[in-house]
Amino acid sequence: MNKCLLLLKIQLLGFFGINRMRYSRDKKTKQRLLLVGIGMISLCVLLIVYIIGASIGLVYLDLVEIIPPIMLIVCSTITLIFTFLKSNGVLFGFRDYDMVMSLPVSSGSIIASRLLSVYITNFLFTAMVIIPSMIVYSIASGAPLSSWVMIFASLLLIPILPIIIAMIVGALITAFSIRFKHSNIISIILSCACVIAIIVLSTNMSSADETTLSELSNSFAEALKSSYPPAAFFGNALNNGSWLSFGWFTMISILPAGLFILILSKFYTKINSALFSHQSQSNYKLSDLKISTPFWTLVKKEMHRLLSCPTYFLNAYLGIVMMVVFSIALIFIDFSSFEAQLGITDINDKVKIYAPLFLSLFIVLGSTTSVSLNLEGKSRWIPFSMPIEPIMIFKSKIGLNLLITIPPTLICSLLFMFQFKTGILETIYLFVIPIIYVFFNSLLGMICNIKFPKYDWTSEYHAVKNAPSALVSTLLGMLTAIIPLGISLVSGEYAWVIMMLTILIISTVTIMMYQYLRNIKGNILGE
Amino acid sequence: MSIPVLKIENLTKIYAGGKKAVDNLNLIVDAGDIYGFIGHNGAGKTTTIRAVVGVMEYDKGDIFIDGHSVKKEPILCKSMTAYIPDNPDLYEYLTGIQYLSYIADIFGITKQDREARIEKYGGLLALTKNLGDLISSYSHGMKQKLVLISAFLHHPKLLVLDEPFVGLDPTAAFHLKNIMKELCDAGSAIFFSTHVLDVAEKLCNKIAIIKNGQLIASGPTNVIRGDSSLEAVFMEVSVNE
Repeated sequence: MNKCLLLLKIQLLGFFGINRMRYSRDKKTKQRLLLVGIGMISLCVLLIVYIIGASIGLVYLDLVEIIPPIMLIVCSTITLIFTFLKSNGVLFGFRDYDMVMSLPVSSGSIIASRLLSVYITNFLFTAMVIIPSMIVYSIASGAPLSSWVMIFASLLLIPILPIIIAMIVGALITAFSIRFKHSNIISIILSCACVIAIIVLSTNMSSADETTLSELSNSFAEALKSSYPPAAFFGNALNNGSWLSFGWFTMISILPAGLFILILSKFYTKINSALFSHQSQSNYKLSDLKISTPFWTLVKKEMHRLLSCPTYFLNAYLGIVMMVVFSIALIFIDFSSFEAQLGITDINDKVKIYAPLFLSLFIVLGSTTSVSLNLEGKSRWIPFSMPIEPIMIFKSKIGLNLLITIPPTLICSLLFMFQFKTGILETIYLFVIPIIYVFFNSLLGMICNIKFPKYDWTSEYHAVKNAPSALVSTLLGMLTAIIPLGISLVSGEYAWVIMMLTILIISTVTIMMYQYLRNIKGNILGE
Repeated sequence: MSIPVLKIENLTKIYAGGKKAVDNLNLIVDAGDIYGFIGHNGAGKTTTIRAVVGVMEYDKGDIFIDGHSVKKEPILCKSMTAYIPDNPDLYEYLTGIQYLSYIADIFGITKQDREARIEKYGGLLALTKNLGDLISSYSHGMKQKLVLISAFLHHPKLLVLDEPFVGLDPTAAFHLKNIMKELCDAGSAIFFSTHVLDVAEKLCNKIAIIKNGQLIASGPTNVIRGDSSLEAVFMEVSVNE
């Protein structure tokens, strides 16, 4: 077998717990993995149903022609963001680097194998979006057989370019940051800036122009040409059966990948060597040592952990970063122009009652607690051989999440308060509900990580990105915010009652979760 | 009769699939003992050690440290114990001194004591100059030295070490042996696993040999060894049993 494929095989065995499921003799491990598997399949089914619904909606709006490019944009944006978030641990700084590099395999094969592992997960997502939407498109447009040849070929091509763009940006950030003493913090700042830029750009693209519905198709096509040419080529290839456009689309997708592997393989060892060689001064002199309580020393250690790993920071904290960006952007939004465009009056009054749950939606997008136990990895013998109760360890991990989440949440509530000019009751909700969700989400993440731990990782990004605990925690968190938001949207003037009930229910569940954590005794290593 | 520092009573650990890693093991380590624990790879040494220090639960029997059950009073037992694993996987994102301060805070060691002990052991093991550097920049031996210093910080009643001499340079190994003797003279006990039979023979006053999870020989080193060498005894019992 090709060496690149052999390297890929080893990585894939670690994905989604496939090998563990096959060979583990522990029934509990198998049950957990089965549960996660069922959850993931349900999510996929939901996504497919949503894509079919959205495509049918576009057909009814007589916008059949924009289905191919719009679906390509969806796939590319998601692939771009998610690949970028894990780009740090995929190519650089993984724990088995020494072992892999000592094998008689070229750097190009190693890079290709690691890119392929990312490609496969993104390909699955692309297939779930493109196949159902293209079935709807083909039926509605009466597409010829040749279109299907293009569709199947494009399935393989679509994820390539966004993956390569994300990897290039990730590689540049890594190469730039390693020059600094606090390279991780530089990397975190640059990565946050990039993710915000991607989100802002894609938002601008989707609201390209202020046009009427009938003109949307043309204006969208124009916007695509200028902002993401591959989508324009893809749309033209399918809508007009143009093989020339398809040829361009293929070339734009494949060429950068080949060039990237070629160039990176020349500098690969150099970048990784720089990452692994740390500044060591060997000039320490013992001086006054500060004393902390066990709790604070544990929290400080958690903070060091967070700042040492850009992948951890970005995945756990992206929701909060987005919340802050959105809240600041809100100051510059002129609601009166929206009212004129949509023909609705008093948008301000209608929206402000839902603002607390809207903020909470950002809060539940991630938490440090949902993967913080995973990140103990092989070092977990340290906390569990120390003379402290498990609750102390949980409290320190929850404490970090509270410490980094509460201040930005309060600032966002304050910004919302000024923008919406809320009354007394609305202001109370605006501050109380998001804070309750911060506590709820921190505890939920902790419990999910206890129930679905993943300690056997070779790269931190596996502990963060491929963690069932993060997936389960985010899904449950989103459900608990979306359900009351949906109910309050349909309950009209009684929305404030829903808010009150939300406070009661979420607080009660949070207290129950805390009691559950308090009652955990002994070690929680699962050995 | 004084309470033993470590008493292992009918310890049994069964892994998923039914394999007995440790089978009905009994052992007593008294104050002042340097107790060597030897056996082949996979014999059950690390499993026993991990059960003693409370990072692994066991199925049957009990372990007592200074008369307290590891199962019933885990925190008290851990506060009297120091553990040094075979492969020191540490928090690589901390500096050496941050790690030592972290351990000292957890064990509630006073400012004066921690400063004095870090100075003493850091100096002996020649690590003081490197304490300001990130642990990720340390070699295996330096990490091993850092864990040793952290273990000596709270002057444990029981010191449990898993292959402590692997990766240490000769000078550090020499000082470690001296520190171990010093701790035992002060009334502590040491229980450690090793493959280096020469060290065990010279350093330990008692030896236990484990095979397939069962204790096949234990007692004072001179009794176990008899007129032969420890290596010869080990080969004989581990092949014949």
